[in-house]
Amino acid sequence: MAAAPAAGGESATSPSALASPAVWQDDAGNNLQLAELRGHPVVISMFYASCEGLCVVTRNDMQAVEASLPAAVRDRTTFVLVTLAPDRDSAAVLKQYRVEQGLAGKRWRLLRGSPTATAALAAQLSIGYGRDAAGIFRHSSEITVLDEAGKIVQQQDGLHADLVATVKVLVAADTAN
Amino acid sequence: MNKNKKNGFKSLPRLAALPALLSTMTVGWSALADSTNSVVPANIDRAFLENLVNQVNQDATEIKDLKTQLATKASIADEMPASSAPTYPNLQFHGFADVDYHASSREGIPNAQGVTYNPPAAHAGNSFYLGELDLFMQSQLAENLSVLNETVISSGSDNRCGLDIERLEISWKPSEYFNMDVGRFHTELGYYNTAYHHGTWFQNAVGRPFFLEYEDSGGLLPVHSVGVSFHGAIPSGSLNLSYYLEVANGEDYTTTSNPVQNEIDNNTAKSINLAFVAKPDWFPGGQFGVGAYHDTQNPSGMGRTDEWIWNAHVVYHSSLWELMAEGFLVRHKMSGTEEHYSPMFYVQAARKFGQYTPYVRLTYANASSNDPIYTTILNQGGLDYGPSLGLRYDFSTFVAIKLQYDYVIQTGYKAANEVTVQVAFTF
Repeated sequence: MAAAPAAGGESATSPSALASPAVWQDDAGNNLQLAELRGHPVVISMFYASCEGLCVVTRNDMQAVEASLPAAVRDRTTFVLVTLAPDRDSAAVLKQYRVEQGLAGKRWRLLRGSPTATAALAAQLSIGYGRDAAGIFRHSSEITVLDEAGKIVQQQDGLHADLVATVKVLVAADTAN
Repeated sequence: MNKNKKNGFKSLPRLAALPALLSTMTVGWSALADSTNSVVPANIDRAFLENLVNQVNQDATEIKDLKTQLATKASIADEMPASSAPTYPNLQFHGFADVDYHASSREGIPNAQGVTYNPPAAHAGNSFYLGELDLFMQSQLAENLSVLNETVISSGSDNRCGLDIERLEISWKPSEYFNMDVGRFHTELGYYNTAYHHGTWFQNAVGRPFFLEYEDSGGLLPVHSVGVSFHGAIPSGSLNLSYYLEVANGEDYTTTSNPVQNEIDNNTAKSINLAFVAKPDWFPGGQFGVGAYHDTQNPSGMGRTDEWIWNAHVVYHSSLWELMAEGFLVRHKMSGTEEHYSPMFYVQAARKFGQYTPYVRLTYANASSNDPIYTTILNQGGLDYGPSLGLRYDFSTFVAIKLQYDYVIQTGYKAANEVTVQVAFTF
């Protein structure tokens, strides 16, 4: 695999972001571990379903990346959105979100985990979140690309990210290409 | 892991039936394998036995893996602490705003009666102006109940600031196939009207195509509705089809009031809007849709008027490109008079170069010059079209600076050049 230089501080030799034994639930109610996503490039970010701010841009950017990939690479790439608010974003809410936002198809995985697992993943993906002094939920937005082994090969701010670079990294990370 | 899981469970019956035999065979095969010159009984296929033992060993490994995974794979519900129970309501707030500068060479020319109309104040001279201050709130009330409010403060041509509840809708989402919104919402008319709300930060251009402007800003279409909206997915495989059915007060065109009937419907007839949108798996980044809208109106001082609006759109977004095209055909027919058709469309293309996004848009509307609503009440009958060229620069994460040039050809006015500079931001 041609490892692209990582942005955002992570290196291509980072331990797998998919190695955690934590259990996640997808929008169909199935349990899984992130290790199951190994074997294909992964584009992953975190969000919450009712967000009308940063998450809209992040999701749009991920969909734009999806649209820009060569068909063969696109079919082998998994797009993962993990909720930052697992208490409110039940599997049913995530399922609704999938339909409303046109995230149909097997390429997209919408996940929720325990607060501990969510915090650990957010730290791995360099996503900060929490409530400010006024009680308003705040979060940053990063889009991360993982190679087939789950290693971080690119990380960008999800707002107006260089999506062309992301596409190139994904094409390079797709060893079957 | 799904693959392993599937294979593992598939192997279970075979394993359950064979332990004793396999034990015997394994021992037997070991003995056979240890003896280079061993003689395999004539009634035993050596290759078959070898394959069988290998398969059993593989299955045993898979079962061991599965047991390990199952042991660690409790439901996440087991891991959720009691304190993580959701708390409602959960209010989220976002702010959007823009400040602008606009210059226009637009000026009136005498019509057939020798009368010259001055252009609307918003399109004359040059001015710095305040755009919209959009206070966007969304709150989750329960797992499948939420409320959305978009209250906008904006200044008008009288230089006074006014406050409008642009959207106030409570949504019930019991399933992916059936959702219901009640209140004031953006009518599901094509793409632009629902994809972009009042904050201009999200969109590349400085504003909407002029015929899709808000009703109190000179728009020609019913972009807001007060009523109820039903929407959801239609089981359609890879087509990913959605439906929208909206029943609302419709609009009331008068020269003195806001067309959106927030409080009182001036007749018993309700507007009906039906739209279908597809986001096919085979068209990633793209969507297309069609819709039909019907309303019965009683414009002030005129007779009952039937309004039909048919529309279609196709859009595509990728990491580089934004391509949008929408068309509308409006039919107005007042009782006892002939019908009037008014076509409108725009096409827009934008390409991203890092932080810069140049774009081009062509907008066209030909509001029938005899149309009772467009001409008599809105004073916007006739042809209005022209190209727009613009550049969006993402100055920082939350601030965009836009420069747009418009060449405007409009009935009743000289062809005009217009320039708009906008700073759009979210906070």
